[in-house]
Amino acid sequence: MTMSNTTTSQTASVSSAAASHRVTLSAILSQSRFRLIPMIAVLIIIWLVLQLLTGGLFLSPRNLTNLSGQVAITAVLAAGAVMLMVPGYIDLSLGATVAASAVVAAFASTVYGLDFWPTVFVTLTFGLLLGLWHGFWVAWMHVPSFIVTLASLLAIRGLSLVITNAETISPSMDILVISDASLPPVASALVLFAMWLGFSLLQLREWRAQVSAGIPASFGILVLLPVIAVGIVVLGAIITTSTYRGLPLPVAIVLAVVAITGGILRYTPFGRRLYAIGGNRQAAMLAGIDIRKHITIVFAGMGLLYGLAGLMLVARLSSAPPTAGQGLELNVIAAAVIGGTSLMGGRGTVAGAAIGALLMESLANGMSLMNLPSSYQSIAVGLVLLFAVYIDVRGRGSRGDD
Amino acid sequence: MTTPVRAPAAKVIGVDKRFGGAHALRGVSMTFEAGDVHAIAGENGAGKSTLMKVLSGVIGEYDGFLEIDGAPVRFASIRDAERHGVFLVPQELNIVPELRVGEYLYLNREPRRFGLVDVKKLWADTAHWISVFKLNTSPVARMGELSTHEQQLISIARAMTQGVKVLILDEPTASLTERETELLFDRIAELNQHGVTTLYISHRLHEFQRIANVVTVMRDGSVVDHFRVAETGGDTPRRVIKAMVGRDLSEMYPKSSASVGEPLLELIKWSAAHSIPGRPPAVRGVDLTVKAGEVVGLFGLLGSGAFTVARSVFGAHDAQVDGTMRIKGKPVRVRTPRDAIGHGVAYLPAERKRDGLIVGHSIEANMALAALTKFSRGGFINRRSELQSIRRYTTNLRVKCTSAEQPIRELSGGNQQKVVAAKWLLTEPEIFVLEEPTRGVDVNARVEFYELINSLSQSGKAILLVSTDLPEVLGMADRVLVMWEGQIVHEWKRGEATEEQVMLYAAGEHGESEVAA
Repeated sequence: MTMSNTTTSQTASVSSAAASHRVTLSAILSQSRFRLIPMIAVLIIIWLVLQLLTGGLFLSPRNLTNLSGQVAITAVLAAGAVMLMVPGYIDLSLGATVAASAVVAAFASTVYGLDFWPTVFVTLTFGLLLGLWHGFWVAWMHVPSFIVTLASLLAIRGLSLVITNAETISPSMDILVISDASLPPVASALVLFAMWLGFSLLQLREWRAQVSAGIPASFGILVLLPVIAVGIVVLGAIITTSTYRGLPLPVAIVLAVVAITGGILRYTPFGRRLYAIGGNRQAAMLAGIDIRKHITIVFAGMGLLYGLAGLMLVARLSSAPPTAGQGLELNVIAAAVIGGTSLMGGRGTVAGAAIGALLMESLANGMSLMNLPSSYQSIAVGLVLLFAVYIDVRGRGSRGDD
Repeated sequence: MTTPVRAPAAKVIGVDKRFGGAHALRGVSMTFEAGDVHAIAGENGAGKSTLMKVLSGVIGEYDGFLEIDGAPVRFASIRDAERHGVFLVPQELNIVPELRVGEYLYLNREPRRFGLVDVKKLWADTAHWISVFKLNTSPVARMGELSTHEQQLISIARAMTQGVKVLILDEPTASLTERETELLFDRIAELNQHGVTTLYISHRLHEFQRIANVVTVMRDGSVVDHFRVAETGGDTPRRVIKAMVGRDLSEMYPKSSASVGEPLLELIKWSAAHSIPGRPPAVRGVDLTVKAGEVVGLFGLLGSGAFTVARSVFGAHDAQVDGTMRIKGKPVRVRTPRDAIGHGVAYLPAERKRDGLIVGHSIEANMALAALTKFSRGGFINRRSELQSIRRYTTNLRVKCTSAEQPIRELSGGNQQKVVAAKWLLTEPEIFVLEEPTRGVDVNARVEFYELINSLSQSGKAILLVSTDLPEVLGMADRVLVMWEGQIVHEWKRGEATEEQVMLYAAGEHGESEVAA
């Protein structure tokens, strides 16, 4: 009796597993790890359209380098924003805290005459302290992150204005290296190739782990397809950078930040726990997760990125206007959300946010190439945000009920 | 007795529904006669919930037909169904805790006067319904302050105020005490006399005999048995179980005894404050020992403090806890779940979706959560060992799923509970605190859970089984402890206690009544 029951239930589970192999394309696309594909498709379409409308100006190496400088700050911050939003928090302070970091960098290098590395150190430390300040109020004093960072948005902006007397100060010339320098073409090619190799090896490792656990993993979907796709992008990047000035330093910084934050989220227990905290805080706590510790670390990490973004900003503008970066926080959140990060927590990827940032800045850049006023850029980005989230909600809503 | 000619209140004709690859309903036809209490039984995933969702307008896309009072209908929404007199009272009630009873009862249909809410009439009408349902509450009390039982009756009253013809109760007794269940049954019987047809879904088969006129059993999306209770001669549960699983009732509790060793968990003068300030303490001076290989059953009605004992042992009680806790003879301090896990304690919470699972995440993400450090080397997760362990447990516990990447929300209750169990087994604990381990779990999976408990105790683990399911406690525990008002009031060895005795103690009526008996 029991025996026969066992066998039937086993055959049942086997046959249902077999049935799952015949999955439709839409089912595949709605899986989290393929959510990037439609976004990349949209990005390519937008690029081609802009290329046509600007008469070939958009995809010229010169403009791509320029675009990369614009994207870099948003992308770096968006990577941090994903780390915060995955466990269910938000940062509204970016515009003010990044501008304040830029002011600190300018002050340190000109008023106090610090050299390059001490300036970098001071700026990053300043950002870190701001991040810890946020972490303290959120994790230990239990004030919602929305409020804590909104308070900073107001207070830190005011503080920058007080410190600088509302004047724009300029950094010393050696700071400008951060936005102006490029890796030489050969080094650029090597860096890009190494990243592609690392990505390929990680995908291969994942596939082997799945196979060793008896999961019928498809080599094509898990390894071949993503490796080839990323390979094409990397090849394009190598060709572009070698025909112009090499890989701009801001792009190298973005790649490093995305690789580190993305790696933390995907491959470490720490990152997994962030998803759990955002998915169900109570269950995460009951699984033994020290939520306070995790949140403090994440805010501290975000603080370091304030400093990094501040350095990139001051180098890009060659000055530190205390009013710089107005509305930056909303662009960053929009980039993360377009990239599939949930405002409710529990869902999101750094790669998605980076592509989201690229998508938004491409629109802005392309439209300014066409000499459209920035108000039109706003309209376009707003609509893209709305439709991106709508498509995402629809894609998930159609998959069965609760 | 002459049976009156019954008119069907509702009919389901050849309803067919698929969710992706799963065939949830395979052309189901059923007739619900007016004035019946119609029980619908079946394992989780048998299709009964899906059928009820079709009938109550939650699911609008299906093949087949519905008839209400002989007229064909098709519901596109819950409001649509409600307009035709079909109301669903779900297992997890959709109440608004901040609203007052009267406001909730007439939500969206408030009596009006000069365009404003006629408050006087609102409270008066509410008071009427409160008295009809014999509730001891006020029309201006907040819904959140009411017990689950009262909230449920208010939800039923809400259907009554809108002219309910078919009332669907989904697992209404799952979170009720025995006494509240009795009260609910009295109300259902009264509804019947008013010609309301009640569809009653429950896993508690012994209730069918008491409450239902007709029973329909479903399996794998089809009807497998249908009979009037009067025909069975008092053997309803047995017949239902036979139809559901083809398994005999005596196999329900396959208890095997293990050799009992040293005490693993000891509580001495264990007390816990109530999580709501100002209430009397939830646990008062409890002494409790669970030895290696032993299953200790802790039974208590809701509010007895049994659940608080479970949570406080795991460091998850949100108020002051006093007393000594020893693990393997050594005094330990457990202030957070993290401490408890470090001392080898695992906790299977009663509120699975709230406390145990991340429903939007995958099976693998949920299973690995508590044991991530075990799977990582040099700060990175070793996917190979992680996936292999997960695979082992999905196979051993027979989790029915398409892949380990499937989201938890797509699994049935029994399979969800297996995932929670696997999450803790992966941490290799010594002490298991199981809180309502089989709530909302179908019969087959229940037996599998009991077998799991057996194998754990045989491998020398200590198990504290905290449950409001009395047959389960009596069937599975080596010792049965009863809690009442925060204290352990009696203890029995296995086989010594009867259901009636335990209930008497749990209800606090063990004093004179026991002597009299």
